[in-house]
Amino acid sequence: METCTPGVVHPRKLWLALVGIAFMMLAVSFPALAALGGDVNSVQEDQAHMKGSLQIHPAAAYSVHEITTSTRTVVREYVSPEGKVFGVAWQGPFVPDMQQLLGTSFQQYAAAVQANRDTHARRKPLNIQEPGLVVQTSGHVRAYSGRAYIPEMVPQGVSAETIR
Amino acid sequence: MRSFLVFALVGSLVWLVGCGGGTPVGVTPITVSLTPSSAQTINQGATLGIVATVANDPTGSGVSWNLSGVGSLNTQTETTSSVTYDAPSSVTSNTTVTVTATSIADTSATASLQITVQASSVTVSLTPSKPQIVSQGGTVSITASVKGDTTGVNWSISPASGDGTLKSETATTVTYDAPASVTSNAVVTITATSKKNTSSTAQLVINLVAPGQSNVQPIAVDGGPLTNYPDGAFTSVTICVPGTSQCQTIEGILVDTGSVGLRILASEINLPLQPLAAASGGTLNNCVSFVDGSFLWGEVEPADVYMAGEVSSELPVHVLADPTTFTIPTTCSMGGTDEDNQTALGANGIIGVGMEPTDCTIQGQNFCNVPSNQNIYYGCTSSGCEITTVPIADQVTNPVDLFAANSVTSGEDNNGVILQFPSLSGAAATLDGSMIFGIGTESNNALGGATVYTVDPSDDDFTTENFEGQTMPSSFIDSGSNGFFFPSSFIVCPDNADFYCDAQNASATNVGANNAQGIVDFTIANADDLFKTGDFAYGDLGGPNGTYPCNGTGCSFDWGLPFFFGRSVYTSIDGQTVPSGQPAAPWWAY
Repeated sequence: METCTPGVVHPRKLWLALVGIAFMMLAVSFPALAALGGDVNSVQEDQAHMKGSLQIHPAAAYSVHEITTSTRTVVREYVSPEGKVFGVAWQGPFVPDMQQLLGTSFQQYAAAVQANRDTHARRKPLNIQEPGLVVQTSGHVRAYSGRAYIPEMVPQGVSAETIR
Repeated sequence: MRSFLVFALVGSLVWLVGCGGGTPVGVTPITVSLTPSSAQTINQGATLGIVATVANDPTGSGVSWNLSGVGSLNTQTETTSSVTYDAPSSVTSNTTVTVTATSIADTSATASLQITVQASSVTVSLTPSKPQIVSQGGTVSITASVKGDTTGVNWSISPASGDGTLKSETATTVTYDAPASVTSNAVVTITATSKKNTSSTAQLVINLVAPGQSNVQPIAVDGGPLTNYPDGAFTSVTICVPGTSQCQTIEGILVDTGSVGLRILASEINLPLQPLAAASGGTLNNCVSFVDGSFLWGEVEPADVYMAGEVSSELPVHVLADPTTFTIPTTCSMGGTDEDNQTALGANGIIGVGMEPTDCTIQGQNFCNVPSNQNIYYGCTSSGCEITTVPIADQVTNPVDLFAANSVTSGEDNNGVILQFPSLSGAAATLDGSMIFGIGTESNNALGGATVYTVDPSDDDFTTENFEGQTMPSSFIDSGSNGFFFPSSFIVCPDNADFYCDAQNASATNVGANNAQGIVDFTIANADDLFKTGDFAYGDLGGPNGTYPCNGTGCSFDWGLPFFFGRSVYTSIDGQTVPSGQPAAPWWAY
């Protein structure tokens, strides 16, 4: 579980918050973009689509926007200082709407899932590792977890393992 | 792909225009003819063989068959030149159907045959009507009621010998005598056939139960119906139209303690089951998503389900089929693979006997009785589907949760299952085991010395730790996973990247929410080598699971089917009563 320490406001966080507010103000003029690979305003699109509640956890090199859906599934979207969603993670009893969540990466995901049909592996975790997209899933029915990120967009100094 | 389709379309249009209507000048058109060639009349329950002859087809590719109306075309014997039409066992009035053969080389060349299915003026029904569960030495008195005739019925029994006899036969009554000694469970069918009209029949199913076997269902790791499924446990179930002896036994059903509910391919079912109605209108449809991105879709249809000496009456069953009049909602498919067919599923169905009573509940919380963006229940009409609320009673239900007490059980064996297999190191062609219903309810299902591991109420998971320094709180035991799947530094296989090829002895510690702890020793073998054996049961099969190293929520060790080898693994069902002194269900014990 990602946590953040409240109380101390770093200048970087303040800057991030200002960027965030600026993006929110601009949101109305942006086209409807989906989440992964999209701009930070797409987080609000996802929140609206998932009928969820949103919490924002700023961190040094990125911020985490956490949406809790009406079905208790938690979706975390990882946003770079440039306001780009470079990773998403989910956990809960229902799979979130992958088309909404993966945005422009959805077609690549769907193609990779269709191609990943080893007859030896039947019910097993998904592990897609391609240029431009990593998707890993785990769990079982009514307890799904997974993450997706665009390796090329992960900010320098941030480990992909933090996307969870 | 799209540009190719456009090219093909334009190309074929040019061809059509150039040839003035479909057949190139100077080429004799393909024609299809059928034998019999003229309209036929057959009795209800009868069959009719049809042969197609295709003329002027240089490709010799034959025909495809289509039926419009009641009955079915026998897919077992269907070829590109012949088919057998099976009329329904009974129709209420004379009904005409059409069988059409379409040339595969030229789909504009077709031939049709009209078949009238004659309703019988004589109908037979039996009392009792539902399948009977009988132990050795038992008897069943059966009465036939015949409408439209006074001459009565002839009685027959199948199998003809070994599983009981008929005695005291009259034109309307008979007594079934079970053998004095029964050593293994068996299904017996008794048929009453009208003396006046032999196409009018009625059947009664007898489930013959051996001593101590009322709650024992054989299961086997045998590769499944396509003999290609590694580490999958399969069984058979008997399903019936509710309240009747219209029954069918379906084999090749995957035993899955990691999901809930009975799901069967519609293509394997030849009973007239009826879908439930959805609260939002239309028929009730279900979608289940698996972690590998695959999904199953189909209607929810109640059936009576029989296994060993147990019965689950009016169980909502997920009948798997792609819709024909609308498309599967994208909130269900989500780019995943559709497994509504035997090839993709590798099974004829899945029997989910996990920790919950239904597939939309977790530890008492029902996610589907309030409007929400759950993506498993839809109300569908020909114009499409919308997400619907569903009462618990209509949800796809764990068959064990509905088991009621009957004459051969000591009580209700409805609080869970035990899976038992002999131990296995390395590979074996097949491995036979048992699924025992109930925990502490019969003489053969006591908890004994097994340790109980309770689970986190939010996700029905426990913690696996002390493996390569990782703590994995979303871990679980799941017979439906076909290996041990866990995050590790182990080397994945060059041929099968979903599995490990490191040969390793390892151990990990399972910790229940009740702080029960136990070390599990396990072995991983080279999966590429295992698969080359051509066997189907592997004690040492493992593969990766998410990112490594993994610590914290969402990290899981998936104790799949090999974990069950050499153990009795108990899975109790939330909300059911467990043996006194034990924590409230759900939990695992082993």
